[in-house]
Amino acid sequence: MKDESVYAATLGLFFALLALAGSNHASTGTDDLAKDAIMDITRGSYHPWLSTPWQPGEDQGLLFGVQAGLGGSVLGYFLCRYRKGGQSHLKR
Amino acid sequence: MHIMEGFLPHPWWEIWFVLSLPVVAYGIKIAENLAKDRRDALPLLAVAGAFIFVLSSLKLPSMTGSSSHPTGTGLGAIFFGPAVTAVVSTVVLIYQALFLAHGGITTLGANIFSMGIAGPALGYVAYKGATKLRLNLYAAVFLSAFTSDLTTYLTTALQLAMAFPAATGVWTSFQAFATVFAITQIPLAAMEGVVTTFIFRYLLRARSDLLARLKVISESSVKPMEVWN
Repeated sequence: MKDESVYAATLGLFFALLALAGSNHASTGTDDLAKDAIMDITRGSYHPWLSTPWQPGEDQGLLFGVQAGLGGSVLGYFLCRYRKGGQSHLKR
Repeated sequence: MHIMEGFLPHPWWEIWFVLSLPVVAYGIKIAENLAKDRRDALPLLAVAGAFIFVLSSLKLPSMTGSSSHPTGTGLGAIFFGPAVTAVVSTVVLIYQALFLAHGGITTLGANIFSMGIAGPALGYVAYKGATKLRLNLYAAVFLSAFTSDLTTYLTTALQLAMAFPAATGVWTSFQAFATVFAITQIPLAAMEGVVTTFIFRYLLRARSDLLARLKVISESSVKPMEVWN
């Protein structure tokens, strides 16, 4: 169990930080560029008929970090279990 | 590749829901059977799901100066096929639409189709085709993940082009959207292919018996590998 926790914490933290760093990077996301392309093609005549009820703004990086952290922990936990309980029929 | 909330006009957002939902329903059924008959495969499903969760949360800068997300769906497609991968993608897309304001509920159908269905389906075909041609197993995995990622973004470009045709037609529009997405995506798709190959190798070395039972690998594709290990 101890090993599993270490794996889960390490991978969780690693991916959370990676997601946070990526989200705070200054480059423009392609999703936003696509929005610009829609505006180009429709000459600005298209108005989204619905928008998200709230915008996370500054916290979006943090929320992506949470997603990556959760996924990374689950990944770490199971990868550790696989490492221990391997029943491979390949030679090691 | 997430089409943002409200950015697909009627009737397109409905059309993509109608196309996606049956596949997700079918995927849920397969996953249920898996939970009943293949309990030993459930940790692998958790790994494939967590992999999608992690990779789709990363926003990575590309050589073009813009940034984008990998999808992580190639691994799930190889292990469990496109329908189950569509289910996992749906969970991720709902999470991102609700909590991150990334994507949207009205565009969910379209986003499920590109990330959860079209990408994994072509990724799955790429893997099966490559292994049938007796390509190196790791090359097949790389190709599958690369195809899955890139197809997802090209599908989004097509979805937007059909909803927003230029005065000169859908093709002009498609070129505009594909330019936005594909060029940024190619290096990221290659990187995703490498990462997917590493984790596949890890799982193969730990549980090749399970992968053989899931028919991901066959004896003939494993045998020659014993020589290299």
